[in-house]
Amino acid sequence: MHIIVCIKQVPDPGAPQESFIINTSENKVEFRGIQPVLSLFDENALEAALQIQDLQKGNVKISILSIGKRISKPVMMKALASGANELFVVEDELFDPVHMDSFGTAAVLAAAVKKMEIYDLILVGRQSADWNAGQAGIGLAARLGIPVITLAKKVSVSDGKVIVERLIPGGYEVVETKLPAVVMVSNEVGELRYPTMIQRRDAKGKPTTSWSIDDIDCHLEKSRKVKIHNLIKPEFKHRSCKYITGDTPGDMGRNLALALLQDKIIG
Amino acid sequence: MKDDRCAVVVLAEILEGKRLASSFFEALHFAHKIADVYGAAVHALILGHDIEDVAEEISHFAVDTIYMADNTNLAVYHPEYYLSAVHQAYKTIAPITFVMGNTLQSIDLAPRLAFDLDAGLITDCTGCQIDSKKIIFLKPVFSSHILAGYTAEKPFIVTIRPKSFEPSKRLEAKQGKIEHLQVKLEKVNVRITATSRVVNDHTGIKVDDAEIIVSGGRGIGSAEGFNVLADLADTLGAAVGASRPPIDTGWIAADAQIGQTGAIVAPVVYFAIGISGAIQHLAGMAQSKKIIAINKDAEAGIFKVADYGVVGIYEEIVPAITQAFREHSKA
Repeated sequence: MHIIVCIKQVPDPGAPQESFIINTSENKVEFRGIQPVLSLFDENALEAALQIQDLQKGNVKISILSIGKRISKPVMMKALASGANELFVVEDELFDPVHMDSFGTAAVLAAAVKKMEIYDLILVGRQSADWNAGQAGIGLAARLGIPVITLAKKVSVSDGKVIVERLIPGGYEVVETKLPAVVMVSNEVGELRYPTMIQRRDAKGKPTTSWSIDDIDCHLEKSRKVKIHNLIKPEFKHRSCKYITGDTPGDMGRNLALALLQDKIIG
Repeated sequence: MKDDRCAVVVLAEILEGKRLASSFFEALHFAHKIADVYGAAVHALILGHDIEDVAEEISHFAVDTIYMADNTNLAVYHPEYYLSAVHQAYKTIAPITFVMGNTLQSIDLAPRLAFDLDAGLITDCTGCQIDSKKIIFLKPVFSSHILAGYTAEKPFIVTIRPKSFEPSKRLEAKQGKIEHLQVKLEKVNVRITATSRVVNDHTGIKVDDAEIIVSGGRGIGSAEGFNVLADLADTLGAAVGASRPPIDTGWIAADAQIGQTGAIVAPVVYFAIGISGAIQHLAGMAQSKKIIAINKDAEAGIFKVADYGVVGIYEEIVPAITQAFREHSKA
């Protein structure tokens, strides 16, 4: 069985606000002193693939696919070290939100997937940690003409089907569909496992294929359905913290309740 | 009389087959802002089975027409049936846009609809700017450090973040007229089958819906600790939330998670208890109207975004708050 996991590198979402700089003339975001990392939900998608590999022993091959402007080697090595078998990257200067909306991302991913060897399952994160669109997985499935299941908290494979526990309000439902299929993975699947030293070393020797947009027979449409019009630094509400004190913790609690009632925050 | 070909449609989500999701009222408010720019009518679309009561309720809000698609296959959300039904509604109504809450249902349905209709989609919108005849949709990106303004070609779809817009007000008189929308679902190519559902017995208020949220972090220390928070939440009619560590350690169910990888909320009052204030959590709650931080570490970052702060151990502070509010409500 062959699983493709689509992953994206993003600027570390934990970086402080000052590191995200708006370039107004080109309408883009620039990053100062931020390390690229794997997008959070994509780590969960990779972990879901590894969990399937654990259960099916040697019968699962995991390929990683990443598209981007300039893909960071250490980030991809971390993904390979965690247990994936092979890496495919497609790099192009046009792969950014100025030139490409979610339709573009889906088109590039679909073209790359078609160029790869036959697959059974494609796993992607539920949304990226940078632009948070949450559309690429559904668009990819639409392009490939295969079913897609979203919001997966658990993914397993059996008898040519993928079985997914998917989030619904207040719980989950169990749904299934025939392979091949796309599954969009949520963080409930679990954090990506930490590679051992040996796995890190071995990652460097794993097969890597690098393509350009021309190699995968993809033509990006010039027209975009949504366009970035402007970028703004949000004005955070200025808050000054009113500290509530008291002789004992019990007094502090009572005083807080009284302050909230008095200030008409509650009640 | 407005031209029906120029319409904004709010997709109303129905919970447990009978109750309107609160996102509907907020989406309706936002739909009117969009409709004003285009001089369009505002309609509602509801999908389900035996939903006349819900349609009646919607008729008390500022909508022209309530399109009701009633079909047994729509009784619970199913991606392929719902997509087909909305597709058929699109053919009938031909709206400029669909507006809906950024809920679990829409996270699945909105992108399916976008690729099906070949329409642009802006997800998790928190505001807009109106520039003469153009509307710019604002959406937080990069851990909410940046707001991106998007424009979209018609037709398009927008999902809005819960509690980002004021809810529309209920009117005494009925306003909207109900129209049955005949949808044909026999020929839908159903590839996804649901085999079972597990819904928590916990019928408490959900974080997405709550006016007040009582949230706990790593500092709560145990599943039992969350009972202390639940007592306060019960007293205030609030939901219990959490940052990521309590979810990972299993102290509380995953649907309580607030932050970049969980629910993004903006309640009237947010209690952050034993929460340090990591950016991933702040991205999910920084827009709350009032934030109250309780933490034993006076240096915790959460105090920087708080309106009220108490430095001390929550195990004794929180029960005292609960007690004080109970006494107040009795008085």
